[in-house]
Amino acid sequence: MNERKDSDVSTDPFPTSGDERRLDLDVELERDTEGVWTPSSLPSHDEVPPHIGFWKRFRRNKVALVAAIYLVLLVLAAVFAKQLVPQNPNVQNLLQVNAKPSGAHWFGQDDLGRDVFARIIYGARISLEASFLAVALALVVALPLGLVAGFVGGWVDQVLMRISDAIQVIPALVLALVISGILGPSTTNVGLALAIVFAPGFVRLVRGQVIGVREETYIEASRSIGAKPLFIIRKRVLHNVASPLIVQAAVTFGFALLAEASLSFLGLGVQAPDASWGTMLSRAFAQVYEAGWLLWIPGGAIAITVLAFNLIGDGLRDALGTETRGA
Amino acid sequence: MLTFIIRRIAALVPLLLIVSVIVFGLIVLVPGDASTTLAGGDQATPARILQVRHQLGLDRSFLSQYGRWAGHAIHLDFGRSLYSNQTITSEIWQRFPITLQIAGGALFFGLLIGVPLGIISGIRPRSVADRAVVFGTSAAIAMPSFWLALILILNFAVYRQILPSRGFVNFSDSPYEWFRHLLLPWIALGVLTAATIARQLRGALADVMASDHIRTSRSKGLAPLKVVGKHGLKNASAPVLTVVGLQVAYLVGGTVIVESIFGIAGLGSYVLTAVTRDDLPAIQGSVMFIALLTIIVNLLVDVSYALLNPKVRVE
Repeated sequence: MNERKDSDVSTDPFPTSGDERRLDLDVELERDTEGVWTPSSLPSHDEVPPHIGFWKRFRRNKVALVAAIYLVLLVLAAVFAKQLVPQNPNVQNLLQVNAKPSGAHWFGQDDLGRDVFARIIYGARISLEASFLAVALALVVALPLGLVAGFVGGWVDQVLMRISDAIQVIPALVLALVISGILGPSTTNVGLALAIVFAPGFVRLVRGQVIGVREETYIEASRSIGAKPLFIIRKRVLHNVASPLIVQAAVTFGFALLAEASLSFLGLGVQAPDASWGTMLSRAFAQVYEAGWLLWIPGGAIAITVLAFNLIGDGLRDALGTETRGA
Repeated sequence: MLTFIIRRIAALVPLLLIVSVIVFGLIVLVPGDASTTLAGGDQATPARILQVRHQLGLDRSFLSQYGRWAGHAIHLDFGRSLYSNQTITSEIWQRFPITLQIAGGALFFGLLIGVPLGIISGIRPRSVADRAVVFGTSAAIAMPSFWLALILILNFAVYRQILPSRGFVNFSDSPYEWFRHLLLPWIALGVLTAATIARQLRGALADVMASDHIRTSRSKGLAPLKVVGKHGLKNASAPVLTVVGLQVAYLVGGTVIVESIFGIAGLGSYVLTAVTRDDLPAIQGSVMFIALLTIIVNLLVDVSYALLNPKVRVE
């Protein structure tokens, strides 16, 4: 999924972009001499294509950059947990219960003497896995549905939108809780449940973008020279959908992480003895009178990571120059 | 206006129908044979399985099951829970007022904090006060509300024993204790609402304050407070209203986790209990009830939106 989006951004979606840059010059000239051009009269695709200088613009946003570096490190730590963390996250040491942080145990030890640092890193793995599954699955389902709803319109669009409405009428956490609870507690089921919860938002976003560009002149032009609908979608529409979708996906990732933590806090995610940040919080809460400080570590990890996703979302929004439509 | 309301209500009929199909359709997610799983899985006695099958009508076709369920649900009759002898509806009605007090209080808290903050930062964007508000609300939005609940308990019930850590007291029994027990849940849920409202109001107010008619009313010598109150806030209130509507769904969802943390027997903890014991009729009933609640709130938001902005009525 990610691969597809990346390639959409990096390959040139405008074979005519050379012309457009020339057009940009014309715009400048006319504005200088006659002052008749206003920015709003420019079609949206006359803006610099988002991938040009994307990295340059993203890098300028120092906060988003720090957030991105943090997330890359977190993902690496989660993937290479076995190599990085010498302690086994599930090995108990009942002689050192609720021990405060020390040189040997950076984040201390929990109520069963397990190393909290190791559990945070291994927990990151589960929390990120479930969130990734949720976002990826939601995208896979929502992208074609949104394209169809936007392109075909008519009753297909109506039906899809009413179903989205109906799903969104149920509060997200309640729906996720109910679905994952019925399916049975597991990380995969939490991911599945969250995918169902997030899909309508993505469908709406894609549909909105498609409707926005459907009537643009360049689409009409493609159609008039006999381009097939699938070709138009692939070469013309997906590019317009990609940027806001990437932004939305980053922000949704943060929501997914938060929801996963909430569900596993309630006992519906990963099962003991494996750690996720939510289950660590609920265990720490059970010990609140003995070792309240244990609450800070998994809670802080959740908050910082959710914040990082939001900041990256902001950074991407600025760097890609998109305003999300529809959702 | 009346035709607007009638049209809006009419549009809800298909929506409710689809919601009910989705909610009832949750049964297809039950792993394995539904009546065995719902009767308790491996430990279920054959008699109990038969009883569950009969109670839910699982021996019939999906369509006739749905028809029977929906026919009762129209009258807000969701049948009986698999675990208690009370009807689900009566259990919901017992618990709903408690959840209403939690969510309503949190919304009140959100408005109480969020509106002044939004005004302070919206009147003068990029001022010191504005920057402080933007920073504070960003932090508040990233803070998971259930973690906030735990931290509040740690600080106010464990380290300093000022407030109770769990439980609920009826207002009629003791208003003081009622307030003490609900204060932490309100704050835990309401901080995010406050931050969201402040953000939205800030954006809307900043836009309005930069517009021409504000400049006109300033230049004609209208008192600054009146400029903000009469022209600024009135125009900025519509977007805020939308956010308030969206917040209600968040607050109802949030009560699930907050009620479980604070040990309060409201609607949220009812859903959680139903989920943990695979009590499908109770799940379906409570989710349908919550969906209905959100729909009604959305309708109210739509109507008040139309009252504020006559253009909406025509569209």
